[in-house]
Amino acid sequence: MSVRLLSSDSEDFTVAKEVAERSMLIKNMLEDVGDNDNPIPLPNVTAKILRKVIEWCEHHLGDPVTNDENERRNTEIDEWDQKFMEVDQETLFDIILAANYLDIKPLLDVGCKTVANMIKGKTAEEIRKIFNIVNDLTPEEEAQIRKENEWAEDR
Amino acid sequence: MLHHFIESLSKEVKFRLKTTKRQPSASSSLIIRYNKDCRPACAQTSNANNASKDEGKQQATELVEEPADAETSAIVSGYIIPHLSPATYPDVWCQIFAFVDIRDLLQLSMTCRHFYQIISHLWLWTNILSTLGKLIKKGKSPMFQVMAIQHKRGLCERCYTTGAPSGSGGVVKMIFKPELDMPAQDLCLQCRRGLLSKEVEPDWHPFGFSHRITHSRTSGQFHFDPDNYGLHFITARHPIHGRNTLLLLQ
Repeated sequence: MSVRLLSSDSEDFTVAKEVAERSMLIKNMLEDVGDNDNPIPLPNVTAKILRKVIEWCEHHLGDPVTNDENERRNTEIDEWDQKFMEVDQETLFDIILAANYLDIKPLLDVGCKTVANMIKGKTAEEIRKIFNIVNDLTPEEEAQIRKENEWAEDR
Repeated sequence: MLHHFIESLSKEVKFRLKTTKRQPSASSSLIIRYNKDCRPACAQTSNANNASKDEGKQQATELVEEPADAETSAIVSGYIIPHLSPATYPDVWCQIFAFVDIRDLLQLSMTCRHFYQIISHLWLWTNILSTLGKLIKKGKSPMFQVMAIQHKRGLCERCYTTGAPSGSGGVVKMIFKPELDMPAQDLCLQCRRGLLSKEVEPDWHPFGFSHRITHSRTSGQFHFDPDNYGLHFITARHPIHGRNTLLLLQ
């Protein structure tokens, strides 16, 4: 059985029900609506990102659900997911937002781990450069926070 | 006739007063200039004087309409993260922070005000305080309190405990060999033992320990070489003589 999904830019996607049900949002919608030919509108996801999300869901179709918190918190990402996440920062953040909206926890975890790995071991200045953050702290505030958090510098 | 003249004059004066009424200064409004790549070209606020001084600079940047969505607020408050700004999506950043270790969180908190606010209000700090059996003091953020404890007694980066106040039972900084590509960690005795008993395998010696040293003998004081290169020797019970001796690590 297949399900139709409608992206925010009105592109229609037809996917297998099992693939679509990786998203808790869509799963709950299908349970509420029942068998229906009408496409499910996804106003927060563009076609470009929805295509990526469907690709991920198709690849991880048979994956077991992990309930072990320690395993979930592990920052290691498998090889396929690493390649999948080799996208520009804008797309990466859009995938995270889409995974958050569609309630696909494993995909959200992969996205969050990718961003966490970008942060790992970096100084504040390096993080600012990576994410284009403008430092809006006054020099006094910065000095105060630096003093409070001097442990972070002690690598 | 005179009455009409006075009335028309008063109307004209009123009109002139209206037209010459002082315009609100530009300093009270927010002016954002964007480059072609939709990034703010200069500081978020500027007053009229500065604007006139920097006229040349302004011409260099193309003025486009200010986007009216949530991204604007993120840019206004000093951020140019185009999509996942901490101002707009603090909940998503909290989920990302769940995968970031404590030292990296502290580095992140030093990047900007929004990150500082999000990080200092994470449940992590409250959980650490409750693990340590400490109460949250009024007027002090839990993060500040945790950092004060860390400064006083050290904090294990794995289990967030303080361990013994001094000696080998306390928190010890572990520096790994560079080829392992592992950052230095402050670890309590239990975590040091755990690291050696569970994670150290024959092909993976984080400290270059010899096979003779087991986790039960890691309670001694660790020593580091002066260049912080890695562990070279350890004071521990000798496997044969049973005395505390210096053991060279391979």
